[in-house]
Amino acid sequence: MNLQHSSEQDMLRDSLAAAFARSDAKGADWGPVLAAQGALALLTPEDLGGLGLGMVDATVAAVEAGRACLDYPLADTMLMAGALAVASPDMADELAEGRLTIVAPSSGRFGLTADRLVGTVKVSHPELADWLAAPVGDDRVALVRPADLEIKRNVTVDPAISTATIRVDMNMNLVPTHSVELVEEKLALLRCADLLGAAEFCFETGIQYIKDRRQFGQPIGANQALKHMAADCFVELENCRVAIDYAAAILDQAANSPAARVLAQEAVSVALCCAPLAARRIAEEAIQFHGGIGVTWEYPLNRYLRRILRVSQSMGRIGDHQRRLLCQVVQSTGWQDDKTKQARSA
Amino acid sequence: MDITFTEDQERYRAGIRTWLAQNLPANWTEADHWPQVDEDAEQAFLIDWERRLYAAGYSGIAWPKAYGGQGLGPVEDYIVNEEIGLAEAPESLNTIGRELVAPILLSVGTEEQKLRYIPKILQMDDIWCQGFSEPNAGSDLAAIKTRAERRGDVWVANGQKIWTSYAHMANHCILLAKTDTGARAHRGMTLFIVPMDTPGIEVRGIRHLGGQRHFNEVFFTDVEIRDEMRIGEVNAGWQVAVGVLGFERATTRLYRQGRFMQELRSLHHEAQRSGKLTASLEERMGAVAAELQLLKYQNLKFLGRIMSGSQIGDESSLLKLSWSQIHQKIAHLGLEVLGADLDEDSAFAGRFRKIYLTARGETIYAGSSQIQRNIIAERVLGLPRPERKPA
Ligand SMILES: Cc1cc2nc3c(=O)[nH]c(=O)nc-3n(C[C@H](O)[C@H](O)[C@H](O)COP(=O)(O)OP(=O)(O)OC[C@H]3O[C@@H](n4cnc5c(N)ncnc54)[C@H](O)[C@@H]3O)c2cc1C
Repeated sequence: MNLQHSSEQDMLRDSLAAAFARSDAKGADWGPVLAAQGALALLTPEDLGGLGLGMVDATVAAVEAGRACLDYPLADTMLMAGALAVASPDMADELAEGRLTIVAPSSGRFGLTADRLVGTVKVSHPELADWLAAPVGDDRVALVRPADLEIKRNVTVDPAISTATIRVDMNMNLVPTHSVELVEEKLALLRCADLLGAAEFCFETGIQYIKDRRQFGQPIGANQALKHMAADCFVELENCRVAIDYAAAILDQAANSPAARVLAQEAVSVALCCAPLAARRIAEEAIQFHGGIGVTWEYPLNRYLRRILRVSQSMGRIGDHQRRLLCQVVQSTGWQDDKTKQARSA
Repeated sequence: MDITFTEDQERYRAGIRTWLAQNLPANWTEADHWPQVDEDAEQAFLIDWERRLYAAGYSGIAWPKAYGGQGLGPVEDYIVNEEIGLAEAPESLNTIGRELVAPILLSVGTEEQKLRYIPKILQMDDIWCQGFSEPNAGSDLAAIKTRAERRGDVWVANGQKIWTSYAHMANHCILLAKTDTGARAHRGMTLFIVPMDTPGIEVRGIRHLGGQRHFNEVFFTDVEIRDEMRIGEVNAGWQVAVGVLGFERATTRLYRQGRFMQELRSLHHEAQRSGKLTASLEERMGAVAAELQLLKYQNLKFLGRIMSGSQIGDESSLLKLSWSQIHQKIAHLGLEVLGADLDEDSAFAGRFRKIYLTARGETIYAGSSQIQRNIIAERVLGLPRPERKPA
């Protein structure tokens, strides 16, 4: 039992943070920068030139992307690169070098009827996308070129990153992805990790501010009203962290058994119940900590709050996650298990 | 990162699970939580139950064999407590002995003290109470007035304690007393072992909001305590208690998560049965289920840290803050599911009336929620203490 990151994972985090701080890349230019860090090949098997790492490492990278407010779909490209390297080895080289960018739906789903792919999805970063990789059915991914599709730009809440609605109704070649179990859960978890990174930034910025800013002759952070808000945010942040780590760890084991698969889905539900609300609250409280400066366009909290809104938008209704989790939890065998009851009365 | 238990650990879990299934009384159902208050019968049952747990090797799990413990590790301790919670087996009468006194003795007690007192906690021959709080010293424990003055080989204690849980059934008290009235804040206090039949001790019951007797006032008048009953160094009582408490907070309440999950399951079941399960109620129950899972993950994370030898400190306030608040949310859901049936003479109504009322105290004792937030803000996040009186 160990829910702490390894020293390698800490190093991955630090080197990504340093790379984000160093580079002034924008948009598609991030591809090669991230490739040089190995970040795009984290989930690609070693025999196909990747690092062969797991979801814990992938969430570490996604947290850093959120923390840096990265304007590149690292999570989508990284996850799909891992999947597609197996199914389409011809793409592997370009992916590894950061010359291909993949986006996955942020919400919505394509359906597959006969040999037609039909449906509407929303995506972020449409202008960067060489490919749209959309999960369809069980652990399969449909790969389409956004350039060939009907794209409608949306009014994005996050000015740093554009969003669009994509409609398809077409014949298509499905790409089977044997290597990506639970692809939708993994995608959802990486989005939670992005939220966690953004929340970390807001939290640290807020705490530093209330230590430094003085009113009434003392740091404002000496006031208990702010302290208790800060303590509650700390708990929410730690909860988010552990939810993501736990779900990532169990996803890495999920291939091993159907039981682990169910537990992995449950753990992802927990993360989905927790991360969007926690991140938004932490950003809101950080803004409150700042007073007037917190509600200016230029102050960085603005970008982070808007990122949190954009990423959360894609994650479905919280109430649905809560109901699904309740169902999972109520059904999972506890003491009420019949066998145990029999043992008891025997 | 590794969230699995080893095969040996899983086998150990299967063992306690089977034992519980076979040994809980046949009529012990989730709803059977003492709807009738017969405190003597309850006490006798609990003592017998805890003796059987111990005889089967399921208490004192992580304590050394030399003192009657099982000599196993924190993972086994976690597993047993989690299973006890999931089985909704009775909670201990001797939580003060188990969660406070034994860990303190193990960390700073003398060899004689360990040999003499720890086995008796496990055998339920000694039941302990905790004499810390006073009428004018609750959250601010440094303000205690109870004094112990040294006279040769004995200390003489005078003062009043309050909210002393179990004092009416305990035969020993762990007493926190001022031993240096000149010292500042937390520096002049010492811990003592005091047998409750020592002349000069008077116990007066206080009835709890939940209806049970539960706690007491305890008066000390010229109570003589031999120096060998002192725990740890003179004037270091606070440091000893706090050092142990941070760790204990992280480890001993692990069983609560499982127990609370069963309460939630039973609420869900009743709401379904009575046709009260709306979508909105399902969402709110799901939100609590998420918080319970998060609490479990936090427990496992702390467990992992203990296993790897990390120090556990003030950040364990997070666990106390969380479990007490989650339990109150479950209690609120209970009231909602009961609705107009609050006064029904049913096992379900009786159970959730009791849970609701008892849970009100849980955000107060063992450091109130406000105190936990202060600890997190000041000691974990490093926010400054006030420099001036609030405007
Ligand atoms: C069921 C139960 C069992 C107990 N059992 C025992 C026992 O066995 N032994 C024992 O020694 N004690 C016991 N206690 C006492 C318990 O530890 C105290 O009640 C607790 O420490 C609070 O102290 P108080 O009651 O004096 O309240 P106060 O300290 O007066 O607090 C009153 C309110 O003010 C708030 N408050 C106080 N200080 C601050 C601050 N600095 N910042 C913000 N808010 C603050 C508190 O959060 C609380 O809401 C028990 C209490 C309960 C409820």
